[in-house]
Amino acid sequence: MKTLRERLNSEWLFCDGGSGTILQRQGLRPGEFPDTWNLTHPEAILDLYSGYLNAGCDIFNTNTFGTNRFHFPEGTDEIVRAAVSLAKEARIRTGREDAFIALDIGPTGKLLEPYGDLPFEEAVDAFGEVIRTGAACGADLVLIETMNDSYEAKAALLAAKENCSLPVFITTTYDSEGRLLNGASPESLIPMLEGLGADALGINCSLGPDEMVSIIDRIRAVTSLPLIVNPNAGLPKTVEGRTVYLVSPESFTRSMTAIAAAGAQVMGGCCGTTPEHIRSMREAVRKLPFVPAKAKKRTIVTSAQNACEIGTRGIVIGERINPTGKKRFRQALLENDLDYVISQGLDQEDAGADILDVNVGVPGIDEAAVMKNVMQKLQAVTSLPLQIDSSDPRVLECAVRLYNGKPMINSVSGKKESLETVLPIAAKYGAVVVGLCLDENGIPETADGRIAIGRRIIEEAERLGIPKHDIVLDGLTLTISSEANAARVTLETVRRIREELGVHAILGVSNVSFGLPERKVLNAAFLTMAMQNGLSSAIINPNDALMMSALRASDALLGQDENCLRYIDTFRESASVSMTLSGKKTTAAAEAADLFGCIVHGQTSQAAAFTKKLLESGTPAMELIDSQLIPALDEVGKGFEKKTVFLPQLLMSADAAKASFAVIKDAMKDSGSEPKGTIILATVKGDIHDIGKNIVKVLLENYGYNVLDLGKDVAPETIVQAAIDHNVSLVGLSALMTTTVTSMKETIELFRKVRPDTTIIVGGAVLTQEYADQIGADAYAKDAMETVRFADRFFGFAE
Amino acid sequence: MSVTCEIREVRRYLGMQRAGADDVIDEEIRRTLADLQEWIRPASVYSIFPLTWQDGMPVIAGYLFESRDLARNLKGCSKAALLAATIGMETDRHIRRAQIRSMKDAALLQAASAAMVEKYTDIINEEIICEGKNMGLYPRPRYSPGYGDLSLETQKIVFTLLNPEKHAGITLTDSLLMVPSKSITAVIGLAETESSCIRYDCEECTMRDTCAFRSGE
Repeated sequence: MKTLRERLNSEWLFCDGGSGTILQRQGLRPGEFPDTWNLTHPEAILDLYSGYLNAGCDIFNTNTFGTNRFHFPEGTDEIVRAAVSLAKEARIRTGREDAFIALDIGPTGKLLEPYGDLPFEEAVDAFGEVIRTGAACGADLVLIETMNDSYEAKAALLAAKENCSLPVFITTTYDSEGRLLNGASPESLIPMLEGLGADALGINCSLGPDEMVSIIDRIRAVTSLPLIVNPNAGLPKTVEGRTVYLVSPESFTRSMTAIAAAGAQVMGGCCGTTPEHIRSMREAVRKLPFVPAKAKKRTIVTSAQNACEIGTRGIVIGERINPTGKKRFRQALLENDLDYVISQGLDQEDAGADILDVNVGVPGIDEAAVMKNVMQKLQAVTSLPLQIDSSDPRVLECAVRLYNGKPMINSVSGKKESLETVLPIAAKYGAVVVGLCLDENGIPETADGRIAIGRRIIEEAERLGIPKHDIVLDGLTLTISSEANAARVTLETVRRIREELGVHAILGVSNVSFGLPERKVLNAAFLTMAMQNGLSSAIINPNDALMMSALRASDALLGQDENCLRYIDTFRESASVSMTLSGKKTTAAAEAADLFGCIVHGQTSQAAAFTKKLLESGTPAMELIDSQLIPALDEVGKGFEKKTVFLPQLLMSADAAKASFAVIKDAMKDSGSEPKGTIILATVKGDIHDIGKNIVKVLLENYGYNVLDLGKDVAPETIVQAAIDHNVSLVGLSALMTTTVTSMKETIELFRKVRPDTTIIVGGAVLTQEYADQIGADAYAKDAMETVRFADRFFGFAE
Repeated sequence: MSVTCEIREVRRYLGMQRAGADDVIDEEIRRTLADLQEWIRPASVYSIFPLTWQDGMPVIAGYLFESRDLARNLKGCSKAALLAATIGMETDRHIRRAQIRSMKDAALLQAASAAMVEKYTDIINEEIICEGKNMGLYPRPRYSPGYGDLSLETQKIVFTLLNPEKHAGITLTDSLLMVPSKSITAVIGLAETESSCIRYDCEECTMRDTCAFRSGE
């Protein structure tokens, strides 16, 4: 008998259909997990399986869609074992021993961090335990299905690859616009799933076959794998408050025949489909000529929501998230001021970066931990794909494992140790990897030498199963001031990487001009020449307008910019920005004449400009703060307390003050002023809403306090430990819901036990003075200003 | 789908119901609502279940809801709709993103999206009202876990019965918070007889004395 891997992509394969409706007819109650029926109603499950086997399906799912530790905290083993053993029995009973048992894995129903509360590794672990049992019991494949969050799909797929050697199929659920609920598109999702080693992939549930057609075309355009299509029996309709699916087997068959012709290889059904749907579809489709899936060979890097294809036009990889030679950035990393680091990413995104390079290598920090943290925070706010940049393979592995999407790794080199440590990581997690054309003997002086190393990297990668299109080679930029021919050699290498080795080329550009005046001019000219020689991606500073102009112009000149739209857009945007700016001025309140006025009226950019001007004209920073910033903040704060100023205005002033402080901080560099005091802020365990806490933070900082922000969902022990470690005596806790006020109480109790001399102030939507007293807090603040006032009294700065 | 939302509603969520007119803020709200229109991805699921009574407490689809306040709200009902609605994850991403750069923008987004999800839920509520009318039933004002003495624990029942994780992409954390944060679950009673009030009112809320977002002032 042929194995599944032998049959896959060489003949039509058919999956089963829906089960919910069938089991409900037999008495499954609303809200009851069908999975429990493996134990309580084995005959019904046998009938379910047999119905589909008799209808001719080749692959049928175990009744384990909801079987995971979150739905069944008391254990999943028994349910999985029963499900597989019933499947085997059904196979014998129907004489269909050629059919394959798919261990069905559905979503956990929990949302992963950072937006939800399920840690990625716990998700991997939870899927892993079910997969191990299923594989041990004799399932023939793992079918991960109905995933509507690409990150959870990654966790499940990784768990399957790490816990068994069975083929793994994965299907996800798209809405009518072709997006998953977390915003993933076929273009962003499919490269990740392929990279992680799925054997077949596709779409199921949510839509009927007709609504799937355009999405199927998009999946087909990116995937090299066999395509699975398991639609519902049409779109759900509500009849008397109940959800029903009304597409008949005949009509379903007509639609599926068209989908087969459009390039599916594996087909079945989902909600509302019955054995009759599958039988009818199979009869029609099996008569059609089978067309196998074809390799696509596209180089694609993705985030959860976005895909960036290398090779279509000049790809900008933003280089600014990197501490090398940047004092302020190093300082931010050492002080764990991640907002500063993240804002560098957002600025580059606005400037037109396609991918962000992320390097946090500073001596004296735990690079892996910081990398994970920065990466997750970046992924929470930007949808640009990331290039993980570290010389430490351990850091690379930690990061790409946790990464949401198909990442880029920077980098591997021709050195033996690098090849042996970095390539296996790229292979396992399906990353695109940058290969540096250097080895133990350094950087070859000739293009011949560099090409030889590039070739070796490709061979080694392919040996580990990394497809060639997932390698991008760096021809290496050297300084022309020390070697006159340096740029020529690099350009030749770039050209030959494309022509001889057939992979894409990448360069860090700015090195070329080191030690020379007007570096930007040389850099831009070099970038243009490199693109002419076939450079696909450049690691540059996207905030540098000259570099971006050179890149957009090169794209237009090389025919990589259809109708020059991108080029036109780049310059149209800059024109329209200045137009809206000038338009705004007339509608906004009259422009303030001084820094005080800027802060009071919340004029952020003017506040920054004024501050800069005043500092340049010799006004001491402290005088600025004492005579303008603080009085302005006070005026607004008092207005807020008197209810003549409201939250948005208060925050506009806070933003303006923050911008002004940022200028002062930059100017003062190390000689920073002493903070008025240090306060710990945290949103308590279980609570993931932290906007209120962040408002308090901004205000406290503006009033001169040093805030240790522990973030959200913080365990009591962590908060107490931070207070001890940093010797902080004032702690602010925030909680939004009645359910999380409980952990606020626990935190206070722990403080009373371990560190009774700590003062605790609380706030949050459901809190009141009475509630605060009940849980033993020292103070309650109804808003951010009250917290500031309390801190002033606490540290002895009250008027 | 587009959800229309008035500036007045957003001002209420900003605690500005008693503030005087402010063109600058109103313009900011207008801009925020326009941005949100691009980002929202409304999704919902609802289902109508039989409602029975046990010791004066409502039992929906076999699940007991222990709440005097809900019992009062559902008085006379023989069916109840459960609904879950959200404007999606992208809004949360943008609120978080705004916090890196401007708390003012973040607060505006927060308020505008809160108003927006209420408006969207109103639309779904209307559908349920129509559905009820088709069945010859009259709707009661919608009532959410967390209102009055209806504990947040009942979220677990709502999630068990509706499976909004799958149908609308709404998940529940261990501490019973919903993600995306701009999501609403509710019970809507359907009665044989008409009642005057079909919308929930601040006056019925236990937080009415301390809440900064009270309407009607």
